[in-house]
Amino acid sequence: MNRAIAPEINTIKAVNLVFPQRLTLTDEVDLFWIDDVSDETVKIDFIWEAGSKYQPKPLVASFCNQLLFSGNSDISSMQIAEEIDGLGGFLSHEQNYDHAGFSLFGLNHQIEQIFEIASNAFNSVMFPNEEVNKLREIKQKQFELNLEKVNVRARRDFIRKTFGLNHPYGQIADKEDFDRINQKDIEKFYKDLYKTKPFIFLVGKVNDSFINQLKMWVVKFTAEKPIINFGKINQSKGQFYTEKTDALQTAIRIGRPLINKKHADYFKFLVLNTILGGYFGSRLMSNIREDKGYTYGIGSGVAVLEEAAYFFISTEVAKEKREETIKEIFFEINKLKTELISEQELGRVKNYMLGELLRNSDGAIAMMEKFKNIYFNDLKESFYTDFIKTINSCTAEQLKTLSNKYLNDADFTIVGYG
Amino acid sequence: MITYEKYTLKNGLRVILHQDKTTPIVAINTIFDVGARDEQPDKTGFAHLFEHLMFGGSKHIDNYDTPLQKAGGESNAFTNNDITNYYDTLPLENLETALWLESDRLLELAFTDKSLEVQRNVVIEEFKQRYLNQPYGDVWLEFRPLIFKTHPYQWATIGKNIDHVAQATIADVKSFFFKYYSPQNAVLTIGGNIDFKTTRALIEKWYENIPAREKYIRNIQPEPQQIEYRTKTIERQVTSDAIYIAFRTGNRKTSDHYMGDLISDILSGGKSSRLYQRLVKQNQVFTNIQAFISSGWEHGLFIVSGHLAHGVDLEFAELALFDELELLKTELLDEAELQKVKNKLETVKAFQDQSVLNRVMNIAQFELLGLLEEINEESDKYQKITSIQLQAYAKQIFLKTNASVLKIKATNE
Repeated sequence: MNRAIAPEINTIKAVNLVFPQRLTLTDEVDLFWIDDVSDETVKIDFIWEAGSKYQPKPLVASFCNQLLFSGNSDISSMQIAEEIDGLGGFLSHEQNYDHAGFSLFGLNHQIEQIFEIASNAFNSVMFPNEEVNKLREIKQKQFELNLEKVNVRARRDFIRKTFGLNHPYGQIADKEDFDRINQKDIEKFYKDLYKTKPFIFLVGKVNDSFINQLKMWVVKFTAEKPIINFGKINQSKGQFYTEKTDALQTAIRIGRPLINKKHADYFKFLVLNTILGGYFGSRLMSNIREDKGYTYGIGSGVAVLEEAAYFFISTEVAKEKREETIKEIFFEINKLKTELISEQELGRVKNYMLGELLRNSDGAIAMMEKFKNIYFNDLKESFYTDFIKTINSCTAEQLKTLSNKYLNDADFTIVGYG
Repeated sequence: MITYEKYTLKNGLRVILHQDKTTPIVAINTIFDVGARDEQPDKTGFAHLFEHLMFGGSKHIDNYDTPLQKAGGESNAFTNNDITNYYDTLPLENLETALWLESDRLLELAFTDKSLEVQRNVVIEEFKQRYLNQPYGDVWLEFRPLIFKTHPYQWATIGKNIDHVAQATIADVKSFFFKYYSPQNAVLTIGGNIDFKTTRALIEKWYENIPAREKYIRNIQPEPQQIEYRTKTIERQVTSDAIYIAFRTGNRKTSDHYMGDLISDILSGGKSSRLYQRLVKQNQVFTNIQAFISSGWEHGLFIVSGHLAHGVDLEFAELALFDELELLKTELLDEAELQKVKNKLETVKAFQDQSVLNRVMNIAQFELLGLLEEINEESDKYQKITSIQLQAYAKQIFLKTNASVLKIKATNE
């Protein structure tokens, strides 16, 4: 045994992904279901095309989503919560730019009762004024608190500059928007968007009776999805810095619009992203954290939405190191454009990415998330197999060409706050 | 049901193996019996700084993360007042890489000046990012010394103040390693679709020749019982006033842990909980409120905290909280309310147990606590609790003379 010599490494050949079975509940609505679960847990997601891009003014989509179980004249939000909690159930709300909905978590011997309560509450919700006002108060306070955080401010500025204020993705709420929202807006949004067909994803072992419950519930969802032209995004390039006098750190966000998941360059760009800032051993981490100690963390990523996508780098650094950090970030980007990555480093990144894929496909719930990615982005079923192929086959030359194509200094928006 | 096999190497390293045939990932966890509680009052933040240094290269390997990433692995660690915990996850086929890396850094760290220099700065940035540059970020730095007057729990893992870490030397770091990081002070836990025989052989290969070194014998004086009400008010540039109340309780090994956990759920677990319904929704005293336990291995705490609604004053908020706690003393919980939180706990546990990493971390902590044999009794312990026992807990714990109250006045509202 020689400690100076690393044990042999086995490269990952494949990732075992289980896709859900597809059950037709009605002509309109399918159920996607993975039942290969070795315990009693059940997780079910109900998702609608009710994201914030559909809202007539800021906050409507999120308020509507948060208030889906706010009750009616017969049953209050408190009673609904009490009944679901009493059965050991958990209800979570999700909403983003494109989609919104809720998930139920519970054990299989109680899931039917939990669903009964949740679905009745959902069908009969009236968004009582006092619930709206209460949520407004809480959210407004939370909003004020969040505005004190430099990373929140930097993200807001970055989003606005990347998408432009005329695109729904660039329309972030301001303090005044909390007073402008009312019960009528919320109720209308529910009627227009939450009566369209839901997308349903189930993980767990359940009885036929539960499937029948779902079948009976979904027949009412027959509304047509609104047709909206979202327009083009409008990026403002260049540097934008806002100082916060007492801040000890500055939050930096750098990025640009990007290709989506169907694009031929997408997989290779993910490899490039990992090299630059997608893992602990990345160029950015190695330089700005491990070599210079300017930050606790720096990373990069790719965000793909339905109408647009973007690449971003984000970090919080010692305030006096802001300009140095930006200089170093562009130094690293430039290195990618001018020098070929070594076989050694590329091999390491490839193995890391395969390991990461293995890690985040582990278990039925994780596999369902992978499927949802394919489903909502209208991707081929071979998406992950193709991803693995590209990871394995991409070359240093291809990555250098790609960085020159997508990482031009002049194309970036650079935001600093703090 | 968590099954495992446990044995001990000649050098004192405890090894626990746990099989899970459903996952392609193997989780390797190494827990050390050292935390912020073991630091000197003038050298705080060291256990955490040291955790960072453990990734800076060992005797035969100049970088921890690089070879692990090459094997498709991911690594991280955390430190708290009681312990330091390191964990790796990687494809099962590459288990040996993790054992090679972990055993080398257990054998001896590289102790380079560069590594210390960089990690010092990283920890200083962490201190700023998480504690100084966030609204309410330094609350616990102010609160702890109010609750603990003599015990090391009076300082947070990040340190009392950043100067201690800023002044750390290589000599400090070396002595920390040799005092606390011995096989005798560690538990290695591995979980995944492992073959026990080959795994044992690999462990023997890489760990057998690590010297036993010294066993660390802890000798910390307990914090005396609290006998008077304590309060402190600070001003901060935040957007609402806030209040934190902490009560002293028994530690993780006592029944107080389970009782406190249930009560914290009754009070603030979800939208049907008492504090949320009565003090946020109905009576608008707070805009958010939490009740939670801090189950230190030496001393426990029951904490209630919240941000005040606009126009509510701190004295009123404090009274409202004490009134709610008083109810738990004067009225028995009805069965439905108690069963509700027990049911939710079952659901949470079922989901948490899905992760092999979670299971492996639990096994490690239970072993270090001396409670490994009871690891499968957690559900039972909760289910058996009665409302009479909870009322007795409330009567004993929720006393003014057992309370430390930190009030934060907002200067930014």
